[in-house]
Amino acid sequence: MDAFDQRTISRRDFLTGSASGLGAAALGSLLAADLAASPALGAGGQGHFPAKAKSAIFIFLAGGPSQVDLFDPKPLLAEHEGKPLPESLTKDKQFAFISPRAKLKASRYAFKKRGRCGMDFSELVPHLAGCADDLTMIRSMRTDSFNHLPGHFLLSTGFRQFGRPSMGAWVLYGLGSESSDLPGYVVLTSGPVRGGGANWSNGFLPPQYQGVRFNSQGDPVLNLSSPRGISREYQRLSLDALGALNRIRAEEARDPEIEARIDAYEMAFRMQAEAPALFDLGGESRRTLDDYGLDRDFSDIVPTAFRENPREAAASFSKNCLLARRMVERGVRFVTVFHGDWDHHSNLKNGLAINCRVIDQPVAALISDLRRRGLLESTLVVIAGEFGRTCLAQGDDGRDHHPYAFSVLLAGGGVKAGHVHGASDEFGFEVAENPVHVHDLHATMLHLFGLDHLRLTFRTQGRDFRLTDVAGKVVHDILA
Amino acid sequence: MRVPLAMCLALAWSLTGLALGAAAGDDPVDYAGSIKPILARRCLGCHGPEKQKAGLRLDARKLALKGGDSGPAIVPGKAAESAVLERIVTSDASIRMPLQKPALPAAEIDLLRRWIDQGATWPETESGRRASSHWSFRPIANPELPTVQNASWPRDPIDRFVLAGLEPLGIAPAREADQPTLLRRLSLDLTGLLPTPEEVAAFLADPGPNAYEKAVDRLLASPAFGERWAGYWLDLARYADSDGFEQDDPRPFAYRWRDWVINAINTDIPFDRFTIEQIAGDLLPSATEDQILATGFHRNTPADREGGIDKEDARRRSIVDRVNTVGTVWLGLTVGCAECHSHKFDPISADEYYSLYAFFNDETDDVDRPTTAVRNDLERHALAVKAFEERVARLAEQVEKAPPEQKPKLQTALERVKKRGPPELKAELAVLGALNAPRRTHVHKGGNYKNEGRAVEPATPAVLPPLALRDPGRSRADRLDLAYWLVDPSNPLPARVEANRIWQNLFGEGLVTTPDDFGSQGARPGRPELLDHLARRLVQGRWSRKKLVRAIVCSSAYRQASRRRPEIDARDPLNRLIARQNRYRLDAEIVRDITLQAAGLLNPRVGGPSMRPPVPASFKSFAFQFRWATDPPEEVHRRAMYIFLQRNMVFPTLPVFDRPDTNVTCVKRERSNTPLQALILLNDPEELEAARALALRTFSAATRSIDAGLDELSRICLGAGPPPRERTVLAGLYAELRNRSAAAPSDAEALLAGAAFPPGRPADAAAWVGVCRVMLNTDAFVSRE
Repeated sequence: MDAFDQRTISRRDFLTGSASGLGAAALGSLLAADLAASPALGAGGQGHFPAKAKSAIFIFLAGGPSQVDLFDPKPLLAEHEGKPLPESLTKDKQFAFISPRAKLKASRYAFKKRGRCGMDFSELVPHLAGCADDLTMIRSMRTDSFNHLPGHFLLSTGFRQFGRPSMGAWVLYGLGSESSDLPGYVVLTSGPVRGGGANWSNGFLPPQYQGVRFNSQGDPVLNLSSPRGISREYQRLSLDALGALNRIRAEEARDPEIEARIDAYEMAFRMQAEAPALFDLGGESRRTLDDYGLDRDFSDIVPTAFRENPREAAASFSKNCLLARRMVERGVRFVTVFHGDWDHHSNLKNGLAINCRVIDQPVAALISDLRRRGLLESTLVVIAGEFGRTCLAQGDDGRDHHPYAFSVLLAGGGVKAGHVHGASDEFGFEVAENPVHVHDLHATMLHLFGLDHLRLTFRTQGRDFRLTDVAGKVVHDILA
Repeated sequence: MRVPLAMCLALAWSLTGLALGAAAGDDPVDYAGSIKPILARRCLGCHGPEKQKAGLRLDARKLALKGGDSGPAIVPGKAAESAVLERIVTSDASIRMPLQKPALPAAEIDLLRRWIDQGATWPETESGRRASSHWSFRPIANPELPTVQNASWPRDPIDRFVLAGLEPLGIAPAREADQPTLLRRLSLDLTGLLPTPEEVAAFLADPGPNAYEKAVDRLLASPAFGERWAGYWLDLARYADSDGFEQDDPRPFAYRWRDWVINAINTDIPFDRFTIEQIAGDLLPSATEDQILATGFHRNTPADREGGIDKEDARRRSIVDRVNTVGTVWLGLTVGCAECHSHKFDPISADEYYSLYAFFNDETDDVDRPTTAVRNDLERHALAVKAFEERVARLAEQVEKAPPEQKPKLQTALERVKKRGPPELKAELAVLGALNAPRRTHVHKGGNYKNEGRAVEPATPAVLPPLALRDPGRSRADRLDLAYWLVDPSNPLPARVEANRIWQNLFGEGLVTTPDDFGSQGARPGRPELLDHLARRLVQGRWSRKKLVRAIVCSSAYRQASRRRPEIDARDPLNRLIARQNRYRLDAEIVRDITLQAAGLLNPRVGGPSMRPPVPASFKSFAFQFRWATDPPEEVHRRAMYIFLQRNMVFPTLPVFDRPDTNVTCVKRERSNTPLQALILLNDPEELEAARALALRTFSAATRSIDAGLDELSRICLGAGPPPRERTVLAGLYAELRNRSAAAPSDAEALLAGAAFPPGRPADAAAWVGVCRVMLNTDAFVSRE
């Protein structure tokens, strides 16, 4: 058989069953899946081996949170405060803004062992610390980029540049969606996102795998509401006639794509009814709303610049965490929640205080809520930034980007509970043991979904591509 | 569909005089062209640089001869004693290579056998001019016109090639599409616009034998032709109006290059000149401003201006993007694979990659060339100054209202904005220019520029014809030499690649379905002789694209109906035989254009600065840098190709209809079909505005009689009055919506939104808007049939 580009086998061919050799029985479910914008083409919907995780919620703390101040205590820094690092450590290292001779800066926050497992957390994140016994903490993360955008793309898509499919797109490509009324891959944002949609792109995968960004205010999906003056009945009458016209055309042209369009309109009509229900929090108990901190007052937060709106981001984050749970309940496969900005070159003290206040409680609530509802086992929660921050000072009150050793948290979905993996050196500068690269994180996430990162491939531009590019190994030590 | 290897007769570059490896007789088998692809595809997965099962590695001669755990794998000159061959041909499936995969085709086994018998010639380094028997590297053939039985169907040689593929299978071509469908298809393909009811009427009324050709010529001469076909080129050129990356700054003068493309296509600048000017217009003797502007092609590369970046790394990444883009757009090759290591499948080594890179590195820099601001720019600048002033006023008000403890901080920020001042009017063209102190290029080992490998000179891949220096007195080739080389008639790739794209734009699918990969891993052309025929015609027709487009659209093959025939579908589901036209949903921009056109709202002004239509408020909440000042309605009703392409926040409805990411070159758009598209066509404010305008436009006819209204509506949208069944559905819909609107007068009023319908009949008007809205949503309206 000729080598070919997988894109040449279109959904159309899958629908007609002509190019793929799929049996007629598969067609019905494929059709349904197509309407959920995501038939599973990558691994036949079953995965390569039994899955632990059915869904994932990826909390992307964009900008580079300071692991030195949050997750990875380094008492030695206090002793060496104000001194540079040994040159042997910093030669060959690149930094975005500081010189390699910058001075060590200890964390100003107290760390304590938490949970039965005795995991260290700083006082900035008391709620998350309360989840210690649910978490795996990786303290030996590495990435390849010390700049934001390539770092974002590497974490979102496994590649430092534009154009590759994102994690959620790969998972959906592998497993399809279980939701008939909602997209299988949803993105929620609190604050601006560098690179925008390229972080949830389908890349070269078919477009039905792209993440759909839901707004937490107003219409959750672009044009979900009918325009003013168009009632549900008016819309129904219109769709009935449209369906009839399209069916006549389908009979004449015999184009299966028209049938798909008729069904897409029906799905849209159902979404118009169902998506608002997703956003209607009326059924949530007062306790749940309070746990997530939905009505907290952030009016005292001072914007640092006009273009950012931390108040808006703060207010939406709690809701986005709750929405993420509601989506997982409804079969959404992959939810990414962005929160930013954690880029604290200066204003570290204030910035961390605000951001931690915003995210600590709702993320902890999400994990506890999932556990209470029996969803944590099948839902992988990942909390990560594109890199961490230096143990070296930038100015009086800041830290620079640090890709060489940082921390990431995981919970549920088949990862160990109350477990610390890997370690950074005593300054928190380099990985000391069990390095985990972003590719390894991706390989492990796919593994938890029952997908082999080496086999989940897509052929284009003359070769097979995968999420992990040409690297990645599953971190078996963190699997439960 | 693979070309039988027996057909790959020894064809040599006449320039090199080298004989090629091929399958016939005892012709020498060429490693790079014939053996390497087999090893790469079948063996290297387990016996290559990454894995060495049984200790065996087959990607270098020395290692292959040394063999693995069970001894030497290849004995040069003795195929019968070579373990490699033995394991491939064995009948014991449990040990046959490749393990658990189908046996190798006989033709490949034969090649391997003969290659080993001939001494397993395997260049230690794959340098020096090489030849490859891969189809796309061979010179463009001059295929003889096939004889066909049905002499009346072919109008053009193209048809003979198509028919010659059908007749042996006993398949007859599809009948010709009906006249209104044909004109609608033609108008959409050539201009991206609907034929007006008047144009349809004139076409149907023209009894002359050349009515169709006359329509073709009219459309080819329309300025909208340049817009539509520039659109395809903009995808290839990854055109955008902003930098991308973190800062994503606007490029207010990028449109000048976009307009250059529209103009070049409208004036049918030959593709060779079009190429030369874009690759190296700045190096042409006494280059005009337009020729220099053409090099803006390369400045469409996203630019990283994030603080603290490694600037040299960013510069080099943009050169990598340029090399890869040129490789894809002109050569149809995935040269980018060789950035980090020699190409695993195609004969392009890392050295050769960096030799191409050198053309864009050694003597070239990005130049922002001052130019004269035109009226457009002045107007736009005045708007920008106004927006700045408004922003300052708004911020000052915010400071005023802020609680006392926040004031100082906000005040500082305000001062910062003020200090930066209003935008300057500095008209500049982003182009390429010469560098005073030449750089040297080294191979970047593993793609890492800090890991310098061998020094390389500007040069082209050895598998392609040699590069000639235009001035033999000079020792080094430059970008202009590269440009001439690309379009030299001896170079088989650009003409094939461009002809394939033209076909793709007129059939929805190319003859080669991987337009970005004409290499060994790409799809083979469905009809190789037809592709070569087209490529040859393109070159011989002085590279005129309009001529080739005209030939194709005038062919009988193009004019076929798109209706599927189940018995043929079963044999040829992808329509590789071209036994019909294809039917597909229109591109994102065109869906919007024809909607505005049907509504009578389209502003046909060609070119000029990009515009920003209104966007939903939610759109800005995730944008890292938000600058989107909405333009006045008349401006935003221009064609969608003029919507400001802000890389990090593409106008939200377009990507839903598969407008590609503008960050990398795109040679082929996807065509998805999703509920999100339905939501846009049903509910987007712009769509409803169009439905209302279309209703207004046709309301007086509808007031005369519903039938008259439906006739007019359907003629505008689909080029013909509705057939009886559709008419019944639409009339029924009108009656039901009218009842519904009469019962809910406030809904009717809201729907009409104060539009200038004749007073006194809101229920009729609201129902008619609904009918028009349904028409704009039909699959037939958004499709090209």
